[in-house]
Formats: sequence, C-alpha cells, structure tokens
Amino acid sequence: MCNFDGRLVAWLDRELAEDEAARVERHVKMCAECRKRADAYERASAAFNAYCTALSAAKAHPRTLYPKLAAVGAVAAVLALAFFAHYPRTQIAQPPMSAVEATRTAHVGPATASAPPHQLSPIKASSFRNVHRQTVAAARPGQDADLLPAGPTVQIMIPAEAVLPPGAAPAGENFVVDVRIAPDGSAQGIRLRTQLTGLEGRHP
Amino acid sequence: MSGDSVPLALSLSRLGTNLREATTLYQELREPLVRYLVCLGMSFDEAQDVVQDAFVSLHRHLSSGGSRENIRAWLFRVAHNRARNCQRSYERRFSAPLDSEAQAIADEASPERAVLQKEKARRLGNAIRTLTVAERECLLLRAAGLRYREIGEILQMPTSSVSDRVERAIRKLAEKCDV
Repeated sequence: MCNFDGRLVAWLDRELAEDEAARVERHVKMCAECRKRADAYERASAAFNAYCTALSAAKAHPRTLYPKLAAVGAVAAVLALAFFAHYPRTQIAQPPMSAVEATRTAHVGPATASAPPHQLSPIKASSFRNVHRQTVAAARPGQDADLLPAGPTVQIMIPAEAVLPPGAAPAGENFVVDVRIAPDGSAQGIRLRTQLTGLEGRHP
Repeated sequence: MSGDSVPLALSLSRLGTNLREATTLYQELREPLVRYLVCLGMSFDEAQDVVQDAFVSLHRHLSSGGSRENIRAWLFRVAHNRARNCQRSYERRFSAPLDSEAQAIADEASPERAVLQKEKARRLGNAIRTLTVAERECLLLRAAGLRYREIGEILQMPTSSVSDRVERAIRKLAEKCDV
C-alpha cells in the first residue's frame, strides 16, 4: 500500500492544501494501484450518497403495507361520505324560523363569557332552511359552536390575551373572526378584525 | 366596532430581514437537513419537526444579533443536537438505521433492475452496518455537502479526525461492497 493511500479521499474531496494536493495528484498519475483505489473510493462515495437519497425518498413516501385492505377502506369511506351527505335531506324537517331565533354568536374564551348573547346582525331566516328549528331554539350559548348552520357568516370573539403574549395588545382589545361555514362543513372566508371591549353589543 | 379588516395570513413583506434570511436558508437547506436526520434513523415526520425547530432557533439567533458566520454548520449542529435530544435511546435507534431500509430501497427500483439493485443495496447496507456511529455521521454530513471543517464543528471534533474517519469509512465501504 502506498503512503498516499490515507489521503486519497481527502484529495478527491478537495480538502488537502494546494501543495499536498499537487503531490498526491502527481503520484496518482504514476501509480496504477492508487488510481484504482481512488476510482473505488469515488464509486463507494457515490453509492453511499445514492443510498441516502433513496432512503430519504423511501421514508418520505412509505409504501402501503396492505394495498387490498387500503382499497376496501377507501371504498367504505366513500360510501360513508355518500350516506351522510344524503341523510339530512331525507330525515330532517325544515320549518321556517324567525330572524330573532336565527341571530346568535359563538363566544370563545373567558373574556367574552359575560357578553350579551345577541351581537350579530340578524341573519335572514331563509339562510337556515337546512337546520332543524327545535335544535337551534334549544341551543345554549356555549353549544353554538357545535351547531353552526351551513351558509351564514358566524362571528367568533377571541380575547387578545388568548392569542398574543401578555402586553402585546392594548388592554380592552379583542379579536373577532368572521367565518362562513360552507355546505361541506369547511370554514371559508376567514377574516380577522379587532374590536374594543364594551362595544360588542353595538352595531353600526 | 373598531379596526379595519385584515387577512388572517400575514404577508412576508411585513416581516423583518432576519426572517427573510432564514426563509432563504430554509429553502436551500431544508431538504439536506431532513435527509441527514432521516438517515440518522428518525422518521420523516420527526425529521421535519426537528428541522422546523432548528429554523425557529435560527430566527431567534439572528434576531438576537448572533453570528452569521458559517450559518450552515450552525444549523446542522442545532438539528443534530435536537435529534439526539429527541431520541431517548440514541445509540440503539441510530446505530443501524440505514441497512434496515435496504429492502425498501431495493423495492423502489424498476423491475428489470430490481434483482441487481436489491443485491447491491443489501451489500451496501451490510457494509454501512460495520461503520462506527462517528464514521457514519461524518459520511452523512459529507453527503450533505459539508466541508471537513464544518463537520468538525458540528460533531465537536478536530478537522484531522473528520478526515481520518471519512477516509476509513470510505475504505471500508469500497472493500466490503466492491461497488
């Protein structure tokens, strides 16, 4: 084995000082054994790097262990979705309701616990066609978040201290989040507004 | 009611220079960092969490006026140390991570090359198993494109030790798997 063998990888990695790199290069040109070793080291480096890349890709996209079971599960999920999407239209009566009953607000956090229950602009009764009247009328303020109807905008009040570090927001300032619940149950049109405490019950 | 409506998502343009710098580094280094941690033995999700934490630390570091010199090695060191802290049984979980995935890697190959790839991956996995933890870490950081000096900073060892370990590890791989 040549004396240069211990520096071949560092030479390939361009980690040697200029003069030492030149000496190793001159030797490798003359020594067939070191040339062969350098080639083998280069191939080993490339194989290791490729192995790491493949390993990372394999972990990023893990294979499905039971493809047949997964397919059955997917079909069952689609059937369940189709059933629940169809069920309310055929089973729930849809009487009209008054504007007063339809007006309501969802409160979040202790700072809004004492706020009056009717804070929003009245929502038209026609917006509640898909909601059972008795269910909405019997709802307590704390349960409102579970009974969000499809369509109308819902406002959620969040005390500033719940989302910001202490002292980051002026005292008495809250946030109001406007959310529209789409027919598929997803939250749409999210907007954030600031609101001063004490003005919650007033409407422009 | 008071206050104007603003979008919930904040615009990057409102954030400071430090965050933009961290964002640029994130785009450049996220993938190599995740790959390094995954090859150390973490799951892909764990690795992503550690990398996110590392970049939060980077933002704090830059915001507090920390040094910008060799920030790449700094990030890898933070991620490396966090990964170690995340693993209760570091030695057990990280000592043989690469070879355990040889089968999965071989199966990823196209059918006509599957047999060859499988055998090659198996031999390479066996060879990697013979490396010490330090040799393996040096090779992984080298595969991420770091210089020996940076690897030494991350693993807290002299550059000459890094050079010796890399040389020894590559020699072992070349001899054992004859690629």
